[in-house]
Amino acid sequence: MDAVLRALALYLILLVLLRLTGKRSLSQVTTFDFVILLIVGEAAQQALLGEDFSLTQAALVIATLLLLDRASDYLAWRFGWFQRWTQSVPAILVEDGRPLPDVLAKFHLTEDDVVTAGREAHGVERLDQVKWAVLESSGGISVVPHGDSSSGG
Amino acid sequence: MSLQIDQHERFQQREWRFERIGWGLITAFVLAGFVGLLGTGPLSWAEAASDRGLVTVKYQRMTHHESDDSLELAFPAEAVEDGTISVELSGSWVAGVDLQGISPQPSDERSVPGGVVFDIAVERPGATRLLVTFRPQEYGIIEASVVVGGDTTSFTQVVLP
Repeated sequence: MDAVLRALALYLILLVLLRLTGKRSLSQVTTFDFVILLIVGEAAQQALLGEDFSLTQAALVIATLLLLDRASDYLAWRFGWFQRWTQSVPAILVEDGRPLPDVLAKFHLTEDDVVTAGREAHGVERLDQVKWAVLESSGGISVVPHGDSSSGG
Repeated sequence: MSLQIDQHERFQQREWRFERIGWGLITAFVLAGFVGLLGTGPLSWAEAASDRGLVTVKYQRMTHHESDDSLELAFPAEAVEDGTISVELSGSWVAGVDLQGISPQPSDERSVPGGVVFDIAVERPGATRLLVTFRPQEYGIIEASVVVGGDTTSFTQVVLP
């Protein structure tokens, strides 16, 4: 019983913490983000298993976490409000070639971040080559460059 | 020109079917864990009392290998003889667990064939309790019998890996 309850509690704690810190938290995989992620995992491990290092305990914790994730995915697919609350929504950063400074500021993003994402995915050289940029609910920035679609740039 | 892709519809159908069965099995596994079929939980909590009621054992039916577990022995005032309670533990349980501690600490510990006797000093007459903490070292079923003043009870624990 304790394995299931521990996994459930930690799942909820992590969900709340990660949602409160915003979709950008830990998504920009710099070395430091990666190290923080490892430390979070290390800290969670103790709380999940306690002093019990048996196979049964580990299997129960893993099964509970996977099942919760599966159930959360299902509920997000079934109910729009559940998806919005647990997984957030995408936000438009560049609208038809026009950067939206208010939105960028809200997410603590700069035009540089948009150009970086465009460079990585499409070899974009300057911001004026970006037609659309979206901060996805996963925390990544996706870029649609001009001239990529049939309308041309 | 069509998409170059290694698609296999029959296999995909089969995979979906297996996934659904898998989710059912995992749900059953987690529920079993929650109710106490795989460790601590309501179905695991158990109590065994001796015939004349001189000793009652509260224990877990299901426990995990090498994990901290505890059991509680409760004695009524009648179990005290000359200021001590003598508890004899025997069975495969004694050899199958690593005793971590007994609280309050026994004033004397003696070996008997197939088991061990603990003497607990009692300050004032009355109902008393003894907490035994241990770590199971063997897999499978371990059994113990507890004797206090000639009154016997027994319990069985299942040690999961």
